[in-house]
Amino acid sequence: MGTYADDIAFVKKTLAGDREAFDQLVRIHSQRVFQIIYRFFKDKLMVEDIAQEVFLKAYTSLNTYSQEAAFGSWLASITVRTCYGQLKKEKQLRDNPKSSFSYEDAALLDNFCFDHYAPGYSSPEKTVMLRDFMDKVMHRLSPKEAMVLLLTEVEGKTVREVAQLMGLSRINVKVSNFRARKHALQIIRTLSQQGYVKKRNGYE
Amino acid sequence: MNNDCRFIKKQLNTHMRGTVSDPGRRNAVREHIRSCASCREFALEKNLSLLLKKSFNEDAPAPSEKFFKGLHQKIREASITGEQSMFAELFARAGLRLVPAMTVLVLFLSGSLAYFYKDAAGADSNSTIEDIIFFAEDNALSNDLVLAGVFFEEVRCGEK
Repeated sequence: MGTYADDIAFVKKTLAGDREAFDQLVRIHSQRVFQIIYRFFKDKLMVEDIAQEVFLKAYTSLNTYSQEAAFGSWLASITVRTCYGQLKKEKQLRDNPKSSFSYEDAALLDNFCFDHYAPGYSSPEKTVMLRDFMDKVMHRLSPKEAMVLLLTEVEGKTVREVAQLMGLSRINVKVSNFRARKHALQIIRTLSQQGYVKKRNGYE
Repeated sequence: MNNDCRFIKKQLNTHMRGTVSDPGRRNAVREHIRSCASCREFALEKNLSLLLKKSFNEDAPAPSEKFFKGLHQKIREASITGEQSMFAELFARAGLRLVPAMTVLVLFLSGSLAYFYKDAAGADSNSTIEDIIFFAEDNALSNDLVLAGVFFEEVRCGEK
């Protein structure tokens, strides 16, 4: 990761017309941008498309970067808002998620509650299963709820930081976070029960 | 909530920290939570943050060379479009600066027009707004000049 001084130097060179300076900024910050996008979108091609959109927006609006905050923070804000826009678009296209929950999902959840601390639990396979399961849950939340929940719980952002990133008021973020947690628990509870009902009907 | 549930909920905190080594006790907690909706709910709430962290903690894939090439292409296209729109912007800015100058010129010309018409018609004649419009139509003057002339005439009449 470059320093603040390095970033400012590259920004000034880019504004003076040096495109290779912007390439340097992309190389320094691309992994961080990818990581943020990957929280919301699993598909690699989609992550790259959105990342290109983010850097293109940064390039075309570089003259609006005030240099008061770190370049990485400014870029993170563009990334979050671009992801939010994409989530809203997807929500419009996909109003009734077809993915359903199975007994295996319910069992995975139960096992997590009890065994997540056990050595070997955090294997790559388990992480993929958990991610698949939680993606189904997140798709059932509103885009705002999903964003706020992931930014606070996974990215570890404060309410103030989330408000700045998403362009919302702090009250809005607090209320959205509360609702998101409640909604996510409700979904998990319902789907877990569905999984057990399937087991009772299917396996007995 | 009965005594069993109170006990289980206390145990659950210890359980989640991974400090319960006795497999018998762990199984007892597990079986109770499976059968008790209230304790299950409690366990879920406690675990939600951790569940989210574990599920979404995977490292993102690294950007490919295709990503960088695609981005270069888009930036090149954006730069070309930017140069074309720069001329449009310069023209618009110049246009904007000309508007106040044009307004002053129009007002001056229409004021002169009203004054000239009044002189041409005779010192005592009262140039009416209608006359200005007819004069403008006869001489194919633009609407802007007509409106400015009307404005000047109204002001002039107000001064009488």
